[in-house]
Amino acid sequence: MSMPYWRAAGMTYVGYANACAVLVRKCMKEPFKSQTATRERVHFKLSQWLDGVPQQPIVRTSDDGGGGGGGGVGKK
Amino acid sequence: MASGSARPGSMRLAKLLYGNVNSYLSSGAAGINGGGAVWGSTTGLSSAELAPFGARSASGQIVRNRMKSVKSIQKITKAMKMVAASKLRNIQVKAENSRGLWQPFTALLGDAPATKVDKKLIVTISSDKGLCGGINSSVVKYSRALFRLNGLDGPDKDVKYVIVGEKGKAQLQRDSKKLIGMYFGETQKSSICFTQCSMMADEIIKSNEYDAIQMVYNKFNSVVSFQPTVATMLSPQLLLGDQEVTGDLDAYEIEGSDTKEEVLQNLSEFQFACTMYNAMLENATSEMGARMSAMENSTRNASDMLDRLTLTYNRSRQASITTELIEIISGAAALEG
Repeated sequence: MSMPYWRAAGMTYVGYANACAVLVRKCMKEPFKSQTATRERVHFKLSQWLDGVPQQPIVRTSDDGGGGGGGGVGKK
Repeated sequence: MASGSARPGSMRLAKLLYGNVNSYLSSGAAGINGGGAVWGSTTGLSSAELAPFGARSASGQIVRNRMKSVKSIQKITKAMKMVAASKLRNIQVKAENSRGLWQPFTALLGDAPATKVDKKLIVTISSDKGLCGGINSSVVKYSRALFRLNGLDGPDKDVKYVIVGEKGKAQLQRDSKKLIGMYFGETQKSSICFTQCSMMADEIIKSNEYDAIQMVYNKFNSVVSFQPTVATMLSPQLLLGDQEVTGDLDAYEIEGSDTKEEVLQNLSEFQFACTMYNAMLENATSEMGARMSAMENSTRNASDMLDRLTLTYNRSRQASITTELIEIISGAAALEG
């Protein structure tokens, strides 16, 4: 079965769509660019639980740079 | 609602009092003569607030302090109500606009809440902050019911909770600690946007295997009514087995070399992200609405309380003035006579 290159790299469709959206937003001109910048701001904390014990929480945030909302998607 | 949130506080106070009385009894040293000081510590008031025996204004002072605290609590609840109301307006527009995202999916893929599968994720969406009525306990109740329903089908079902929000976690970890798979917090620090929700959906898809996801959230109806809602999303494998869905897809021409399986996988992932976005917004809107009405109730309760306290205070003040006047007049009359 042929696979799209992004799925072969372990991305999901939403991750791919997010990365594309970030690129499109980067191409916009000024009044729109700053308007849409708020749509990339992300902040949340997640932790996996194993047998009732929470593991080390991971914070995903766009405040520390990382190239906007799409930046955090691929890493782990 | 307000009394519900006040209950743990009064319980704590009762425990504190109980502890104080006990320590007094066990030390047993103070005796009856030191009664004033001990009484002061057991009621949680400093002894300075209790005037010596026979002083007129002792109870008046206490009531006045109490009135002051009730008044400031009322101010706080009023401010919280205002904040919730202004936040509600913004987020309600966003939530209503986002409904258009999941509706086409439900039209195409259908919503099958009764699906029986082996691996299920229950995504419980709750709030991070409290003081918002019963919205969090209702989603938790629905999640538990869904879990039990799944358990009826057989013992070998694999069901996990994915929790969004601090309050849902606090309630679910009490009895279903081992069933929690993932937890998301601090989701409302920056305003909810699609990027964030799709990133969360991405994390859930990547780190869990599932046949179906059931998302439980409060759907916003009006400021006073929220409907706990369950949205069901099936995995691409299950969708592929569904004749109705695949039949519908046959009507479309698929661009490129994508197979129907790939299209369905993409669709189901995108459906999950969209439903997540809508659910987060609906739940946040419900939270604001619930907080608004809860705070309105507690403001009203505080003003009732203040009225009663004012009445008691004025009555006792009047009574003591009258008594003093009578004493003076009768004293003067006795001297003259």
